[in-house]
Amino acid sequence: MISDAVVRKLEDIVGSENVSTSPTDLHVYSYDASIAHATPDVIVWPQTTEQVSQIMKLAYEEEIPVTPRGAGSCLSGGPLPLKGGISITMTKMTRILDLNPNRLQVSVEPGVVVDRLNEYLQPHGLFYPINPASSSIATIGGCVGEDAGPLRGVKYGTTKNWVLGLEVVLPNGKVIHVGSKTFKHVAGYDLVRLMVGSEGTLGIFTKINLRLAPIPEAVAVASAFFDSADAAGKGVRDAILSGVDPSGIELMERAVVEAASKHAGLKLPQAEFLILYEIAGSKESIEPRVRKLAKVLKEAGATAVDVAYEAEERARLWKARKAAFPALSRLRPTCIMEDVAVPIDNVGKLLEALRSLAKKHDVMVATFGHAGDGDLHPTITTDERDEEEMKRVAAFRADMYKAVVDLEGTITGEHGVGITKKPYLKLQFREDEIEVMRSIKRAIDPKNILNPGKII
Amino acid sequence: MSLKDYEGEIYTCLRCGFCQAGCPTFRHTLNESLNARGRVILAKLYLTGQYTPDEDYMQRVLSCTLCDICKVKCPPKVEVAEIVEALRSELWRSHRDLYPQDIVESINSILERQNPFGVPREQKMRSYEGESSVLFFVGCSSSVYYPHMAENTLQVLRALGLNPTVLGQEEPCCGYRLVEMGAVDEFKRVASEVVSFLENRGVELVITNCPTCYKTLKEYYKRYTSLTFEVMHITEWLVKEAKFEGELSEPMTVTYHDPCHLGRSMGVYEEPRQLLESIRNLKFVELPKSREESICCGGPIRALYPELASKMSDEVVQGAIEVGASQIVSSCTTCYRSIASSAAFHAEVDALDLPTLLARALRRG
Repeated sequence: MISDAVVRKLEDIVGSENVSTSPTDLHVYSYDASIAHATPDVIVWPQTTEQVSQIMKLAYEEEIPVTPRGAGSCLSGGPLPLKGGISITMTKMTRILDLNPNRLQVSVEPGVVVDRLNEYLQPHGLFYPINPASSSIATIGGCVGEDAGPLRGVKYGTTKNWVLGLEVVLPNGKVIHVGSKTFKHVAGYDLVRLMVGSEGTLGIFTKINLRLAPIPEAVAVASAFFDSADAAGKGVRDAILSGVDPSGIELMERAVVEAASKHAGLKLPQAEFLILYEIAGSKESIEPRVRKLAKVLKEAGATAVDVAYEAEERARLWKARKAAFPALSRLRPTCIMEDVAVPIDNVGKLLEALRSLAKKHDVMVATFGHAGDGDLHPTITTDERDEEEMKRVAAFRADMYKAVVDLEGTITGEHGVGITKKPYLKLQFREDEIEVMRSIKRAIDPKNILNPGKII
Repeated sequence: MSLKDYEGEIYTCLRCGFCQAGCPTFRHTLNESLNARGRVILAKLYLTGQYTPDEDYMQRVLSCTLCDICKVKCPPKVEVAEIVEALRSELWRSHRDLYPQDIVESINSILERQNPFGVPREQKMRSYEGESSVLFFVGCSSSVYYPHMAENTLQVLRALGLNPTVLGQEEPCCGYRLVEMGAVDEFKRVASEVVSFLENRGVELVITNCPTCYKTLKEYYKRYTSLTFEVMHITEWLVKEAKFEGELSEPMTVTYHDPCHLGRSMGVYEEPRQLLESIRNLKFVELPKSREESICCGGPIRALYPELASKMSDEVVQGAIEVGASQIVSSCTTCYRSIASSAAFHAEVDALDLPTLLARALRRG
């Protein structure tokens, strides 16, 4: 518990209107989009770097846990304060500070929502390409904390590829600046890479300098249908190897297509696997690339390939893809979206493994995701109130992570370890490797006050 | 339906938080317990007996305007507004002592005086004897505070060949405030009384100007009783049954604010626009957020939480200024009142109610 004296000091720093100890609010801030929950003792909404620094100094002195939070859309429990303490919520730091189109760079505060940033950039012909499915609410700070991935990761990678520099408040309240305003730099250890995806355990980001991209001139979406996991896997791998340079490759298996079509009121052909390929670039480049893609996909075993050049038709296909998760969530009371990734030539094997493990544990699993990044979202639909079924779900998850690691993959591609995957990190890394992570954490946060209990 | 009946809906909420992109009480406070997801979490806590409501809890639950935009943003389309209504009905039974006095008085006023404002029934507007089977259901707000809107509605209807009856002091309150705030048992009683009263008078068609009365009569009543009469919004009647033509003497740039109860709730988007576009010398421009994306004006929570409500109506007015409108037209008295209170601070824009504009266009004024 936090003393009244500390609460008063917090109020002095940010103003009483930016502090809440209301039990009602604390209960709500106990949740994110995962199935975990943990309750803070106090919620604080800072508005400046100086305030964040003062809060950290206070917390450091008093040894109070601090857990950063953005929109609270995390799928792994990242913003949940496992040890109580302060929930530091960054959503009131929403300024876009400095756009420099000539450098393809923008500097923002952490509470800026991804879609708002892209609305701001659009008139300049620029965009920030890392738009996760939650881009209508996700904050840039949260995306950096989790190293969020977009729908178009094949071409654009993840957040880490687009963060050039960070202003970071350290656990002891010191403010540091890491990175550079250049597209390349090797001056010292890469602290930007260390901070991106650190899930709020190493520092609190108060300014973020992002790299931007020009909006592509033209876009087409090809949809391809496959009868087997093996053929679908080839359809992913060969599209990338072919050199047609797709920006995104999204997969949905039959159960997902059925649910999504029904949910979004769309008529889509039924197949074991539907894969969408986005081709973007100069107008004249699109058609030859799409033609080559279609040929490659047919050779890989696609039963049919359709191409949508028109915006409306493309929107229809993306609508189906975006409906995947919500449609699945309507099937059963509880919906758990997993996030595992394998090398791109192992996607077919991962799809096969997921199907056989779901059968083995008698669990409903429907898979979709960013197949072009090797990153899939096997989604378990279940009922959290059914203890026996939840045991089977737990057994499926444990087996799934083992299978993923056997396929040289990772237990999380973009959602983070947080709380929900913490027990499985040791499947992927040996004790020696986890100890290096611990020693980094100790060096930066010796009192273990920043988002304690996460990742390691 | 009780809160327990919404258990499935509550569990369907993924807690993804996408509702933040719509919920106006969240946008203006950035407090997640004033967001749709927060309210669903609060409903779940109540349902599972994990939390005893206190004043803050009540404020979070009662400040929802039921504008329903969360459902537009919600991937699985969770019925948050219905969950909130069901939660309020539990709270009205279990924690009535925590309700603000203003709401309790409003509810009592409906039951005792047939209006939610606590004014004597005699303050309602005068009655008109017209066709007995067609009723113009004025609504308390217009009848007590804005009788000119009702008079203008009548003028338009009569000019186009319809002479409806107006009940004046005899007109019952539709009872929306009851169902809105959780007094469901009281609402059921009112609904069945109003329906039999209208039936006994031989009413076959009810025309409303107030979108809230419209939704209450047409949708909420159906939950508890069956209707023997048809309910139409005036804009529907004017488009479907009459050929409205009008002209303004001076050019005017007008935008239209979709009331939540007419638009998102009942799907009436086109008719008001058709009417506006049929007026010569009127230039119609859309608000930045319109139709299902329309921003709630804050009207339903203005009495309880005026500061928050003002931020919401300010946002509507800012939108109108952005698109260069000089008049923000709405077909709802609650919206009119809200928007007018914010527009008062801006010389370039005014609030205008649809019937008054239509009557003026008919007169070519």
